[in-house]
Amino acid sequence: MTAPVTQERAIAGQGNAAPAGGKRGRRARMRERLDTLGLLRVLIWAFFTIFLLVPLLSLVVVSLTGQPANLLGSVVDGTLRATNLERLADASLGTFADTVTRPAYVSALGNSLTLATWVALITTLMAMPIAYGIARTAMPFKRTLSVLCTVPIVIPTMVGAGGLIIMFGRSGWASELYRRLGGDGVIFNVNSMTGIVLAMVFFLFPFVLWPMVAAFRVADVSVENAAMNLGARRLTPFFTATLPLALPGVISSALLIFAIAFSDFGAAIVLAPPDLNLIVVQAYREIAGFFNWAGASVLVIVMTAVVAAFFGLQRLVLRGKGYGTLTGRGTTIELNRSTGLCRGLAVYTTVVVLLPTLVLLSVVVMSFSRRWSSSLAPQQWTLAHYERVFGRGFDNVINSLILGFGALLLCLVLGTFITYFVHRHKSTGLDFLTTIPLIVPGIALGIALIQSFNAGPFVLTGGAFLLVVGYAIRRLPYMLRSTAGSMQAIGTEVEEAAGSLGASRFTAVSTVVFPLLAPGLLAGSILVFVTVIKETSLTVLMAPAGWQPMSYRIFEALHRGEIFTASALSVLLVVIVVVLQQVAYRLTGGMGRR
Amino acid sequence: MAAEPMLTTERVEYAEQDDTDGFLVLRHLTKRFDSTVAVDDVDLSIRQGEFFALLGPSGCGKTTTMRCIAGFEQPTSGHIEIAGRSVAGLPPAQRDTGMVFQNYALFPHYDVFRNVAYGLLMDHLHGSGVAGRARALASLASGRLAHRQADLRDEVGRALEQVDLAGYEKRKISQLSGGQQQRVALARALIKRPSVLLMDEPLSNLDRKLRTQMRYTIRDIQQEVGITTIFVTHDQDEAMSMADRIALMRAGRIVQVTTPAELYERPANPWAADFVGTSNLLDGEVTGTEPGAVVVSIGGHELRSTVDGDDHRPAVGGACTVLIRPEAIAVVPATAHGDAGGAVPSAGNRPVNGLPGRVRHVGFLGAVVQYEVETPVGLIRAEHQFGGPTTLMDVGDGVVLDVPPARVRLLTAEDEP
Repeated sequence: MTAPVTQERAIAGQGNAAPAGGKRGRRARMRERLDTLGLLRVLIWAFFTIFLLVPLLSLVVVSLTGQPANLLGSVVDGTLRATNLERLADASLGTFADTVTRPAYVSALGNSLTLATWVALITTLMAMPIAYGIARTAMPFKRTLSVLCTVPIVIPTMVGAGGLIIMFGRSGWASELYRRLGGDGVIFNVNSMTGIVLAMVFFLFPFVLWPMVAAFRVADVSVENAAMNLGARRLTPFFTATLPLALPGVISSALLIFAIAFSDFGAAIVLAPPDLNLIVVQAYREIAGFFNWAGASVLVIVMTAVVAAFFGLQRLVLRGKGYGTLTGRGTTIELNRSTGLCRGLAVYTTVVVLLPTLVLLSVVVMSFSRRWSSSLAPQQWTLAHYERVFGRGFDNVINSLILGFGALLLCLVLGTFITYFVHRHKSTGLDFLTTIPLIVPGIALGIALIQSFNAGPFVLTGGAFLLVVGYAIRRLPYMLRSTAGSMQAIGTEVEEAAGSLGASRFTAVSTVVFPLLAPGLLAGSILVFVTVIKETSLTVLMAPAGWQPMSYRIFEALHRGEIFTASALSVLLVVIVVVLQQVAYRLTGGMGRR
Repeated sequence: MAAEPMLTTERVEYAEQDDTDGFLVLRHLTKRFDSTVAVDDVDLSIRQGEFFALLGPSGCGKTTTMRCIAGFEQPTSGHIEIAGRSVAGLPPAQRDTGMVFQNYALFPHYDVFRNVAYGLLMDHLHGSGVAGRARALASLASGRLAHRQADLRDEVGRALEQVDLAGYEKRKISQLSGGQQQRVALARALIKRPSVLLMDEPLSNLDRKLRTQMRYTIRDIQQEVGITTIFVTHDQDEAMSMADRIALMRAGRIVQVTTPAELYERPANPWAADFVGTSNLLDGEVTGTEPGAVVVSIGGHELRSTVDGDDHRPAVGGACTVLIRPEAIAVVPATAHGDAGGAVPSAGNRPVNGLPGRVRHVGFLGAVVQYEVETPVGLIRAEHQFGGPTTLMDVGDGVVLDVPPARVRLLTAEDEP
């Protein structure tokens, strides 16, 4: 019970308490921090402390005390500090335990775990043949099918879920088809666990597919041929020679998709029926409905713990399995050309990508129809929805672009310097710090930020700034992933060459390092921008009234049953995302060729 | 000193040579990384205009030594002097050195012109005069502006001509072949007319054929410019074919500093002999002396060595390692010596070595034929010029190895000074 108190003091005392370190040490530290790069580093640490570490710590405090905490306020305000300390004195694991064992919460956790398990299992098994087909065979239409397999990535799960309703809802065209073929009612209830699993399976499977493709590329068909040469028949080569090699990659993808499905907000919030408790939805309702800080904190901490555990497991599985580097080689992979197998896999892949493609098409068609109910095609067509989107609703588009651009700028600045510090100064601290957003679900980050900046001295909740900061922190890893490659490719020699030719450190960085890093930064920026305008969880939680972006409007429209508006906005969103992603792809591709 | 010195005079020069006539001098240079010692108390003195190779296996400290000279690493202790000036604490740019990196480290976002001009532009940029600075900045930003400046154009043109790349100014780096990139890197390093050129394994990224060609190209350019050059390599062929002198390094220390021929013929110890060229190394014991020769016994078999003027001749009764280079051994069919296998034929009173043996392997390489011969002292490799099919011997043939005593070298243990 005393531990949290000392922790609190350490934070509260950060501003004034002088460390007991010797004079010499302090001077050395001062000198180190005096130069511009050093100062920037301190600023970056301060940014992450204020907007990531303290909010997350607040969550823990809240979950232990059952009361809102204002850690940042405590630093500057004596009375606040006193109240907070008083509340902390009551902190106990008991509070946490009491909250976490509420029946509703327990069932929410159970349901979410069940959901994630199903999604992980089905997705992995479903994607495995496709991954094999893409990685190891000369499957016909491989290019087209590969492109179709990336389609779901550009569609937010929220939109996918909406599309499922358009197809399989009570008045959906697929249900109508089913009835005409002699069925009764609907094929399955979309607003159920089945519906959510389906939405996630078909719109999240690319996240499993591509790592698995990489895993299957570790070895080529010659390994299987060797097995056959030694007497293995039919499927035995696959199970004895292929799968064991790819297994770490397959398992790690399954763990990854489990974590994603567990914390995915879009499909769950759109499709979950009132009687189906999911932890994401529950956490959202505790905040949006009841302002129950304690309950929400406990739930998102549990979520973060589960996601972190699965990420940890994934690291463990991948440890020492260096196929990332193996696939990087330019060696040609010998492909399996067995006609029967190739055709079979092509047909199978087509069937799998058919559903997301049809869902997307349904959304497109819906966006152009005046009435489309219980029939195979719309009864009437119209452009009215787009008129509305480009008319009154255009504010949302503008908001999306502004918010996305703000997050992009922030990521650009943070990304440039963090990349430099991590790769050139070997700053492991920053490296670790920037992986935290990967394991913190969007809803957890959102709740943490709202909670921390809800009360003075820094009231930021309800403002666009905090939303931009949240977006930037959440998507910074994308920027860093994109720049890390460029930075490694640059190598220290170029900088040294510039130095030996007379360039100062700053000149060397600005004339050599920055221009070479630029393509990576640009690609990363686009990626950040795209994921930000797709972002659902943070948006729905944090978007202020005057700053609602497209994704918020889509959520709202789906919620209110304005399916036409939602469709038209979704189509526009997907178009923007596809165009920008193509640009990013070109940029990174061009870089790879050099 | 331009003429190829005789072995003996060279040796004398080396013995006499002190720090006084060195253009680039390293004194007690030591570089530690945490607990490992990369460079251990290295002393070197390199003359003006000399092409000097640092040779050794990977991890021997040759690159670290060079990086200390270039200023990319700060020595833990010791001194570096370039042209009589201590460069301690000076940043790389102020050391008056040009460097060619292993992967060339060209700037891929600039064309050839701006790559080569970069050093000049840096002088303008960090020099005085607002106009000059602005011009340099503009030139860095736009290739077209850079090309328009007459002074730059002259200098860059001259540098490119030196490396035989005149007219390549506007090419992109990615449009150049490996050899051309290498020459651009050389031009870029030479543009500011530095007094020392540093090259870190500059040929290792080229394919084999080009590598051999570039050896002479680089050597020619170096001779033309007359620049003092230090060349780091792990490839003995490169070092031998290009350098005036070689410093052989091992585990952070200098094993031997000498000319290529001397290094081959008089390696300082068995390790050096083994590293440079192929060699037969046999453990023996000095059993006695004859007029003009030393007698060594290898497993009971006697060999004679006429070592002229060797200052560290091992004492009688001492252990030594015998070095015989394969091409020094003549493989003679046993019948030509009569049937007395193991007989020591003699020609007048000149001492001769004969080793009986049986051919184990024959490697026919075209110009050269390699034999591995099983002898009482072990497996011996010999190499011949191919003299026509009739001269080839078969596996299993009985032979006598004729080893001229002048090419039998006695080496003492490795850890000698």
